[in-house]
Amino acid sequence: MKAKLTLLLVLVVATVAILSGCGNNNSGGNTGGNTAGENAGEASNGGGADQVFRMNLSSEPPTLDPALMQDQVSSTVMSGLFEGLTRMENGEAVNAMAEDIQVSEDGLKYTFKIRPDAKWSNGDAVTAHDFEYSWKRTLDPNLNPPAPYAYQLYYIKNAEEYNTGKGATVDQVGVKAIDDSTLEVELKNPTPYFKSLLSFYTYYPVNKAVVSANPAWAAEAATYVSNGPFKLESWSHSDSIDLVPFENYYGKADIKLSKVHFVMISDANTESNMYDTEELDWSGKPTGSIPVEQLAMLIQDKNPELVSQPQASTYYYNFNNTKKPFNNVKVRKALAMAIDRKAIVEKVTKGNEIPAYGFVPPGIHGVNGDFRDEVTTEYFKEDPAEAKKLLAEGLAEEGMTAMPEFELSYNEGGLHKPVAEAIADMWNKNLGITVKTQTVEWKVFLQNRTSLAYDVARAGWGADYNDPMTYIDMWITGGGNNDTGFSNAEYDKLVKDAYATSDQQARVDAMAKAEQILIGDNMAIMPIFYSSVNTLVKPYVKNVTIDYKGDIDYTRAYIEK
Amino acid sequence: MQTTNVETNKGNIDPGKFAKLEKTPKDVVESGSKSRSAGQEILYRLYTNSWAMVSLGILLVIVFFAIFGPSMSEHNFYSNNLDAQNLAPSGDYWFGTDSLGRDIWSRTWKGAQISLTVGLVAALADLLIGVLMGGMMGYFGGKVDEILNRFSEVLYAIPYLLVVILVSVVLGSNMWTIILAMTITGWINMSWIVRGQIMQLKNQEYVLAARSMGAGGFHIVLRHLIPNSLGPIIVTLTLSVPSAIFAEAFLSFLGLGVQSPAASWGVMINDAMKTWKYFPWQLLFPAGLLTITMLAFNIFGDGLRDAFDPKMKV
Amino acid sequence: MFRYVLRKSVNIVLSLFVLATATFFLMKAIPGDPFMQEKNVPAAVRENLIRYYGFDKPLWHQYLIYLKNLLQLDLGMSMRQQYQSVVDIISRSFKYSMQLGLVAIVVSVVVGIAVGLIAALYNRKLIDRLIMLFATIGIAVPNFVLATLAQYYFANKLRWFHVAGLHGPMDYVLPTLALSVLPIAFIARLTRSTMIEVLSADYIRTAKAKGLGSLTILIRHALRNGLLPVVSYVGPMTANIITGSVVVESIFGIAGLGKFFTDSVSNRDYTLIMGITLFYAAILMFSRFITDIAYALIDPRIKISKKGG
Repeated sequence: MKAKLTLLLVLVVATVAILSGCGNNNSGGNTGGNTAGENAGEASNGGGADQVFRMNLSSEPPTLDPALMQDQVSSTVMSGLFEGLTRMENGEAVNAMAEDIQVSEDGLKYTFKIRPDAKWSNGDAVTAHDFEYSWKRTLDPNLNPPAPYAYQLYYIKNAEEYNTGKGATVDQVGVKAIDDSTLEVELKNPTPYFKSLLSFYTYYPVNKAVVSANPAWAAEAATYVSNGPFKLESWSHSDSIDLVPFENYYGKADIKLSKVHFVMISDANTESNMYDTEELDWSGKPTGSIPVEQLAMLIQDKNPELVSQPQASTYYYNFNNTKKPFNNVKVRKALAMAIDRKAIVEKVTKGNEIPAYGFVPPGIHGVNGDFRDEVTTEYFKEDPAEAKKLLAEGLAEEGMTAMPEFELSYNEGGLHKPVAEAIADMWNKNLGITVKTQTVEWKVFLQNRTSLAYDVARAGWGADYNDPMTYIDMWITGGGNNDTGFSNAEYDKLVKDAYATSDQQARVDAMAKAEQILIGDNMAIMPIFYSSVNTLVKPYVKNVTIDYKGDIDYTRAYIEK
Repeated sequence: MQTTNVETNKGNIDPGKFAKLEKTPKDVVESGSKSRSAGQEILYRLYTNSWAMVSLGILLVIVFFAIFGPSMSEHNFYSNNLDAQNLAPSGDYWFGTDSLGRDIWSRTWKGAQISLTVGLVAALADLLIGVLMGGMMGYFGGKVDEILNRFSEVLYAIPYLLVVILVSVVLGSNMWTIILAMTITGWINMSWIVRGQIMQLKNQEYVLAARSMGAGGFHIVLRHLIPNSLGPIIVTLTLSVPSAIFAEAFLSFLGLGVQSPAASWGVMINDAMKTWKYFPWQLLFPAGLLTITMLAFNIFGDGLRDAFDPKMKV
Repeated sequence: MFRYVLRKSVNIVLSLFVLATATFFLMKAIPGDPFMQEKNVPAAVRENLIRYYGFDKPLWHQYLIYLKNLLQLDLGMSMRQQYQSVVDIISRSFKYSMQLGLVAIVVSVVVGIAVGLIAALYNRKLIDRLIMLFATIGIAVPNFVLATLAQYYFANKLRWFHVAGLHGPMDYVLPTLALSVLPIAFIARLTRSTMIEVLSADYIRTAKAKGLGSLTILIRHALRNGLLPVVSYVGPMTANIITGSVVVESIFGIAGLGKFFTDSVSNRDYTLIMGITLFYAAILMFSRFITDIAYALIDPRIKISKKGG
């Protein structure tokens, strides 16, 4: 017995010795060169005066090159690094790189004066040539690789024709630098929201000299050149990004932060723990997330750190308008009328979302105020009894006696699963039909949706710019994002009419009529709710704003402890 | 074990180290002399192993509830009740409710049906293929070993996610495609462990003896090598069951697992990870039952191994 | 021995080629491509992208181009992370996964064997039952549950560790725990199971009868023979752990290879999928090759370089 005990002791000692040994090895190997760790140390040691703002991106930005961007993570970082001709302030486009903007009578020609004190982070002056070069580079069909968001520039005359290789050369594109400080832009159609479009990232300039010399300029912090309020101090790929104020920024007096620290944590629980332990100052949208049940608790407890506001984004279900029995409008209406949207937002999503009975969300401009306030939302009413009647009529019209079992598909992530489960249960209870909810792998899901290989599928749409058109023109016949097979000649004509005029009242009228056709007459899709932005913000963080579409602006933020 | 506990390197014999045998040698001889067939012998050994018997009892209770549990509660496993969300266990809802107000009692037992089926069938498939392949690699060696080895390595290294997506797209999602997706690579771990065991065992004297007596390859593998590798095989098997249960939950993210409103333990545990801070019972019941089941499986597996292994003395 | 190594190396290269081919066609067979997003890009822009990446060419042509690049050891550029080469991404992220993985492997093997041995020596005693209880819990509780709970209590509530990141030695504790619990439990069970058999084997009795001390017997005779199944498991386990675990990396915010691999599949980042697959396979095959050599070292009767039968 004693021998065994001795052996046990030896084993334990050996284990401990080896364990502590490898611990030491590691401390030796890892103390050097970890900037993020040092930064975190600084932030927590420094005390009240530290002007550091820390938030979570969730993932590595796919690119920091304005031409190649198409996602929210990239744009969150880039909104500190770059500035376009205008920038958004309290929902209005104000002059930024442009100090003066002239618009022609017909709304088709814009002339910009670039501000003389605009500088690149390498010391060069920002010129009109940089803008011309940047936009034409984005439109270049042979860019290396081609720009996925090039179509955001299609408002410019001949831009689409050049980008798609159909009938226009690069010189015919309607953007031209007259001299270093004058930029002339010609548009295809009068576009009332063009000034706010100019703040969008696809319209950022790039430094012509730097980018033409080094195509991979945006890969690393060392070769990166930007013109915004901050510059890229370090980019530790997939780990963290640090921005520091740009000393030659023309408005540097307004910039109070000494550092913006981005981490890339994909797990919502981890983000929440980091916020609790003050390793983050901001949690939640646009690029992070708050665990659902925690959000519900925070809202219920009226937690003062929780900031909740509407987001111009609609959550809806696509019906496959080409597949029996979903080709029947009565069937589609029955399904849309048989769910309880109030219960979904209050009991399932629980994040201050708003039940949706239209497609254009609140927060989008109409004629004088909000489109949603100016245009009726009474396209349909929830009514299970009426829905049941409509379903029976619709099925009869299709020569069916009962609703076949069908599939409601969604991708993994967010609240898609509980929302689908709740809706399937409501349909089951209110219409007596059986619905199979099916998770589908992300890209397979997208492929199925695009090729109309589904019955009912989850979808969501956020604004590209602040005009109802960003929600309306996607449903034209054969539209690139019309994943329903919906096709209506009158609808197409209304969209065309709205494009052709710059009279805002006429545009809004046409788009309201179009929405009536889309939802009220045809129920091509089933609106569920308008999204919201929920964020946790430490009380000492001041002046970080979220705009109508949920984008963050931290450039004018400061810390007050 | 007491009798082997003699320390021979000490000169003086300490009487305290000796304990009186509970059974006299005569008893042992008599118990052995009752002639029993091999099968009876194994059952007898199992029957006298009280740990294994308790475990078997627990397993039977779990199977009983998996079959009858869902119908014991007045609440079914799929119906939402948005006015009864996240309730703690009570007389009405014995295990509480989940975030859509569904009854966790019914869901847990419904989940047991699915998870235990998936876990056991996938583990059995792994066992059959893995032991066969591993046995061939280990026993034949040489070219057979090299080819099977390389084949299993290539299969093991092919991105599993791609395989799963392909299976879900081509075959759709049902119980059998789930098990198929798990088995495609699931057997490999088992085969490698069996291969290592057999490479060692085939050089031992008794194998040489069997071979010199004219025993064929399959006879040697089945009668001598595999029974003597049972320990590692059973340990690996007991790892296969929970990994299959969690693999199913992972597959459901990709559209190949059990889809709602049906529940499985893996999916329930996954969902509960979003809420455990506030509603710990949503995690506790499925995870606790899974652990108890695995514990029972392990102890029963050990008992089974002991019963099969003639060298072992209970 | 030299010929043996050479033959093995040729076989490994051939296997990698088969793997590359299988993965290539598998990747192309599943739906989706790198350019699909929630918001579709217009058809013309899509065409530009498809032309740029050569996806408009017939599949066999794409395959030949791919093989040609592979033979020149060119793994290409990521299709998702712009301007980042696959080699850069792998070498950057492997550094993190490997640092953490090596610690986890040492901990798993040492603790696993030690605990398993203790359990075997005290077979069916209370200590054995307790060890097996914990080992079973270690197998039955998945690492994402364990990691989440450990992070919440030790990092958030008790503040003993940072929540995420891998910036100091203390940051290794929680991820190592999450990575090693299952291997420890499994190795312990495996060790116990074989050691019980080995300890009752004739040669151990002989050794005891010859008057050898328990420790000598244990290390020289028993452990040596009882370790083989553990070695079989440790080979592939090493490959799996040093190439990173997506669960542990996501929860502890580590920029490792495991996360990239999962992301590359859901992004359909073809070049990155292929690069990581080949890299992983090379490590796997190498570590199993080492395993075979370890067999021969542990048990001299096992002949690896000669044809068996």
